[in-house]
Amino acid sequence: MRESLDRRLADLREAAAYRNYERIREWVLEVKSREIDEGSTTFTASQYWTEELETLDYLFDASPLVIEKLRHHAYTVTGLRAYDYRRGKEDAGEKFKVKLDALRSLAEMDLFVHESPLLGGFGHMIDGGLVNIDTLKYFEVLIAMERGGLLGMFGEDGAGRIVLEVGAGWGGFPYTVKTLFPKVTILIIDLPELFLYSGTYLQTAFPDAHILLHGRDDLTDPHAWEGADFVFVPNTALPEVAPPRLDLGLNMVSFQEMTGSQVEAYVRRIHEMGSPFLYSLNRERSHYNAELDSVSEIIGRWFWSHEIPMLPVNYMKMLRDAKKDVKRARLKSADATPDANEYRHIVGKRRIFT
Amino acid sequence: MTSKPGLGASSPRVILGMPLYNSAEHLPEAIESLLGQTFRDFRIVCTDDGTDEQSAEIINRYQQIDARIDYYRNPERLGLTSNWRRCVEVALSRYPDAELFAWVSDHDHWHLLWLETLVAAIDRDPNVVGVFARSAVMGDGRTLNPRSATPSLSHVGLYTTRLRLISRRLRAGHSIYGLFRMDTVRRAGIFRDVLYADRLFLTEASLYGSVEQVDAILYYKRPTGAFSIDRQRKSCFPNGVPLYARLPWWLQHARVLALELGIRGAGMPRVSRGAGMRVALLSGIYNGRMVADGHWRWYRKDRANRIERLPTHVRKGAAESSCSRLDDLRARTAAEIVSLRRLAGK
Repeated sequence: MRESLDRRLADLREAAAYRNYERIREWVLEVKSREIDEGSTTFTASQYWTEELETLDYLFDASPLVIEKLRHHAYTVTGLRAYDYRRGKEDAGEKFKVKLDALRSLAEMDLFVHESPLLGGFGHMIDGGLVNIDTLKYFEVLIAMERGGLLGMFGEDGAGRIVLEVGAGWGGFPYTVKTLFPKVTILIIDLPELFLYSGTYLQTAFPDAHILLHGRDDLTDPHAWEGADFVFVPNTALPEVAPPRLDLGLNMVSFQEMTGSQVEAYVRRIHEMGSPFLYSLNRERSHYNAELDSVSEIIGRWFWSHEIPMLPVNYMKMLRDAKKDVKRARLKSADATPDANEYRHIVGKRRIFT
Repeated sequence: MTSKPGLGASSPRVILGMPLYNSAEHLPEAIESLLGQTFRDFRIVCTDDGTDEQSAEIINRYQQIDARIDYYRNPERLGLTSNWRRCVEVALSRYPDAELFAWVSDHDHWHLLWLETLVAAIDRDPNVVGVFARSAVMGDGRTLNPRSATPSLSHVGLYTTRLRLISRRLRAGHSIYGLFRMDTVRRAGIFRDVLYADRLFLTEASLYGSVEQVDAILYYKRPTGAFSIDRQRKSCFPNGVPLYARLPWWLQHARVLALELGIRGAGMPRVSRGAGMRVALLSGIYNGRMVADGHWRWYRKDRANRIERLPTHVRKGAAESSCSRLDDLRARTAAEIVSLRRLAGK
């Protein structure tokens, strides 16, 4: 037993995923050292994230077995547990199918991407692939973007376009976008620790991807961005980063956890970078976040914001009856008052005078 | 009239005509969404028919940062249709070489690829005289609801088919915010003094080539209150409604088409006088029938609503009475069937 475990560990240490993890970890440690030296305070994690990050310490010394099942360890980021998708939970799988069908009835483009089984990817097996709450969320977000007119500019493959995601979590949405639009450049700004997930995952999912790392590559040179697939930048470097162009800034479910001044700094910076659009899926603020008043109000200062109505339930909940619920959603009048406590798909269009 | 630096330079390819009328609230959003267009070879020609000073102030603010805006104040109130026409007249006199024209409203929002996409679509095919994008509706809650696709008014050959399509399926208030060839705008009478002038314009434009829809949501429309024919009549003719404008709108259209195309021959050589008369006749028949159907549908719905509103005992009585009539009918039918069977048996 001991021998076989040692052999397996040795094999896993040589595997691409673990090597990717080690490379990213080295970079994250460099970033953390710089942060300590510079003593940046503007982007100090909010109380919520400070508590969350304390549970991630073990990832700095992860065993190859942890990296092999990295997706299972992304629980802290998404709240999803692989346990809920095990065999024997087919009833729950049915509900996912109903919701997937409901979303498909709203979509005009084929925008659904299954979860990859890579690094312990999990989900209910539907239509030949894995489906979980995250994959449904990304699908819903892409439909909202399409309805808000944000996807037309990507053309067939997203060539020449740069998208910024603030807080990419484990890297699921960049994976989805890159699968749909292989030539798009995705700039991720996040807490350094979270790149242990997203960096490892994306480099493993796209082994040939050209990845730029802040602090190691010269991001001030516009030519450096040419042909880049992913660009990783820690949140503390937000004021310095200046992509040669920016076509879309987006955030899902993390503005609501930040302080008001942090949200404002991100939205203002996205505007300064020249992005014509900003997309947000957030509540006005999380129930327990007292450091923020309203996400949409802050977005509205720099972008003309419009809400895209989607399903009558939020991305975490399932539907009872696809047809009825979708019909109900369609009947929602255009001037229905939005619920401040609900997740809202907001599409912001650049203001000239702010 | 406000003059600006840069005028007299080479003519832009596209003119965006923006008729203004006391809509300062959403004007900055509308202007910014246009100035942000990726296709940049255009001028915005604003003709202000309003009474407030705010619109002028807002436009002036944007003129400071972008020289592509022209502002003209009408000396007296012209009314809706005349102000729309004024936009084109100013554009034609100021930029006679401009190839393409689009009306834009002072309260809607355009996707930044809107103009680039429409210009590319109209450039692809010389038979296309106009293109418009799909739209989504914005409410006060700032929600966006995509509208279902509007059919393209393609050059389907037979006037019969095209006019029937226009009469039944056209959403003129949406398609009118498309991009048209300047020559077609001129030939289609610009914007005639009739009710539903947008419908008539699109009908006429479609006689000279295809009016196509681009299958992408690039235009966001903000509804401006409930529509009423009386409201339109007042806003189109602020200085008194002429006698002909009291006719049903479809008769006004048929009359104009007959006069312009059938008698004056304004559509020649593409539309002969005979064809023009036929168009006028068909337009009258299809639109008239559509209106009559609409009234009939409304009448049936209204009748059902009125029955719903009746006191319970009356409704119950009506239901019982209809049930008893139904029972009578069933009994009579059953008796007839029995007698028929007897006959057949014999």
